[in-house]
Amino acid sequence: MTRTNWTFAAFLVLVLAGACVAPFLVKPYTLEILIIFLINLILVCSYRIPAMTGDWSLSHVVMMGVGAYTTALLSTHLDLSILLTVPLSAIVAGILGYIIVLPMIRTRGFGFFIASFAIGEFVRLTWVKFRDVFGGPRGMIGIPNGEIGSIDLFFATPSYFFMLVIAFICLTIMYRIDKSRIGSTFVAIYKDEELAEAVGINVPHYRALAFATGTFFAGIAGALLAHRLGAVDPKGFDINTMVYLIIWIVVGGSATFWGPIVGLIVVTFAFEWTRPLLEWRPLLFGGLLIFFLVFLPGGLESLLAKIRQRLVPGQNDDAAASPGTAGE
Amino acid sequence: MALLEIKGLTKRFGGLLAVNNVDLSIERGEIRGIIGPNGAGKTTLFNLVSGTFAPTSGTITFDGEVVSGKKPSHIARAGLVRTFQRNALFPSYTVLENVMLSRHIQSDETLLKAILGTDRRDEEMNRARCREILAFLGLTPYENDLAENLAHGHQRILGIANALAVEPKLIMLDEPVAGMNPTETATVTDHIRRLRDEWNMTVVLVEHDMRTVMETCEYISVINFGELLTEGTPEQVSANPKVIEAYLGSEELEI
Repeated sequence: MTRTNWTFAAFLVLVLAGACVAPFLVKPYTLEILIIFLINLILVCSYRIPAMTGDWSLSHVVMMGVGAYTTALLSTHLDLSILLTVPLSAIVAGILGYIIVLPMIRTRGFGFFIASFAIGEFVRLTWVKFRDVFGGPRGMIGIPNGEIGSIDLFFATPSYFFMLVIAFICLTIMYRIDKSRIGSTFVAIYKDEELAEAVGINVPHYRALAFATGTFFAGIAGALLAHRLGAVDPKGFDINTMVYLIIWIVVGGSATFWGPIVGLIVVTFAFEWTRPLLEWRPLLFGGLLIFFLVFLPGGLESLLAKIRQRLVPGQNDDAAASPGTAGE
Repeated sequence: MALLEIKGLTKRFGGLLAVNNVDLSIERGEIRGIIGPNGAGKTTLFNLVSGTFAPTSGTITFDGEVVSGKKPSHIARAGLVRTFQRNALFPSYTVLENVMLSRHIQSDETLLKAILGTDRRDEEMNRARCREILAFLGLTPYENDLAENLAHGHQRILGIANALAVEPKLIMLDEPVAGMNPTETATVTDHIRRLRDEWNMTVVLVEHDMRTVMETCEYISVINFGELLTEGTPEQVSANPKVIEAYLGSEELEI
């Protein structure tokens, strides 16, 4: 192991240790926020996988909803355990993601952005229209919080640890994909699609694969959310929520694995601090989005890279070129 | 049977007949030049063979497989790889990383292997081979430089290196010496000959620069107005009055 690897390992151990003691130190309200934070962590990291190929979609939160609705159906009708609903919801979201991306693959950039919005709304409106199955505009209620053995996940602390374990597994897998050859292939498609195709990369296949992998993990996030909230409704997965996901990514950056995580942490803090300014919040976050798009299009991670480059000259910063910003 | 066999290839863009009933046959180990004045249909022919466009009619058979109408990635997998007229490379990656990325089909990568972390087992072998390609093309001193920081001439050669990483049987070069000075041009022509002589590669050269084609290729096909005008050795072609007329005509237009 090199020195950077040791530093990284030490940092990771510290973060995990902090995450393990946190529920015993914070207020119950903060613990609920931490649980939602862990779910959002899976969601924001999963968004980066298709974004690596340059595909920014507006349907990601809807695909999270697919996971949530699957969980709602499976646990209320079939009474399945949380250990089954979570992976099954992920598989359903992954397969549905693969199906909806097939027509979308014919578009690129802004076209993809809009096409994904249209198809996402189509999926979302089926929940509104099919009242008997999905409960219509009011959604579905009575989803159990889940239990593992004799541990009831209704209580915040065990729920938190369950989410922590799932988030850790998901992030480890996504990190491995990021650093793997397939991750490099995704980025190669973003860098030069024509060249990628010329050297034998089946571009549509890999774009579909990246998208479906992203929706698979979004499905996990959705399943966890459904269990935690006990209810799902179509409004929770609409464009407003999607915009917050975009804000996390734009604030953090998407060139490295860490960008979206940094964005989520910063915006979650900002979100909590602005709670007294409830009515002004959309305006504030809209302003934040524009500020970052104009003044720091690479996100906070590009700022870190710039600082590091200034301190250690001669290092290549991999964060300078962000894999595609919306509308590019 | 020839390595690349083109029969009755036609491409129509609306009312424009860009390539009209072209027959070409390229043998293994050949260095074939394809020339023609501006707008003759060279690039369209190139894009048809590499799979960027699907032909209106006609067939392209490569190494016994009909590849006409197939996607570029499929054709690359079959062993026919193209380069670009523009400086196509993967920016913000180093020269070595570029060649490694282009080695996609030679590396065993699946999502499951990525998650298990077993997909980099053949990495060392691939890297060694990529270094060999860079050494062959004289890019070793720049292997850790960012691709976009290379000089124009070196970026063009990196384009060839990226194509070679696929381990093709036939490489199609689209104006490889465009915008190069005489020294750089000489280096590239030398590389092309060595590719055939030392690596037994078949090379198809689509080029505007007449001198390069005459010096590098043993056999030349001349295209004009989308049709095959004539074929022959450089001496035969340069002495052919039809070729001279086609080129003089175009030069008058350029003035």
